[in-house]
Amino acid sequence: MNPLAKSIALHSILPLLIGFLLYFFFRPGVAFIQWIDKREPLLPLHQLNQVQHWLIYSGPDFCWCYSLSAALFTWHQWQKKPVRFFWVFVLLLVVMQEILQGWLLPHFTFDWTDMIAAILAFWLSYLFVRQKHAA
Amino acid sequence: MQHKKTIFFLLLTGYALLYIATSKQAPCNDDCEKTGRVFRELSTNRTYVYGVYRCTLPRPSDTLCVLVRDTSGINWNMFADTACNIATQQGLLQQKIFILKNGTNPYDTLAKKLCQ
Repeated sequence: MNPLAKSIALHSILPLLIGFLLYFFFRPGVAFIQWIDKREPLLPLHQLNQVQHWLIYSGPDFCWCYSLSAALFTWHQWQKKPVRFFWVFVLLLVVMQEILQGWLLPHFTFDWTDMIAAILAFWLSYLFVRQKHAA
Repeated sequence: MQHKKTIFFLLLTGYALLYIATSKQAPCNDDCEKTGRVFRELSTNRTYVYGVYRCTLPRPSDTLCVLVRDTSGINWNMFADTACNIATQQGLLQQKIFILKNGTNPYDTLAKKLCQ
């Protein structure tokens, strides 16, 4: 597998797949799971401990943000024409999508934990994808 | 160069569609309609109310969770009474009401009440 395809598979597609599985099994109330299969979550909300809660509610946000950042950094590397402060654009995108959720109640929910997860995902993506290619 | 920009916009569009696809969109039955009415009434002039939803299984259950922003000066026990009254008016009888603080993992319970 060439490095570009490997990077896309590992850093963009795999996180999306993990996010999908989290939604499918634990948060089936979201639109795209309802289209696929009308099901109940494996664990009810009030029975979740702190770690489970973070994994189920902030995990998919983390996966989506990591995947998006990685896809954009991979694109930036692939198109070979450096865009100054591209990482700032990616960070703003990740932060703005979370802020936007606060405006889209009740279909989305703003949460500081999700915001931290999103920024952490961006940072890890920056570290593993952008820095790796820059080296 | 043009196709590189196209791929960039396709990427953004694809991820935007995934974002939209994760909106909460459960089909609304009779119980969901009533829960929605409780939310609308409870959130009128109360900007700290984020949502009202069923939070135990199987659905429909007799438990209503009210997600709120922790706001000083609010008596959450009285607020739970108000939630009880509104739920009862909407035909949701003998509900268990949990007032939950948004932004905590797991949610902190600010008040709980068994509606009579």
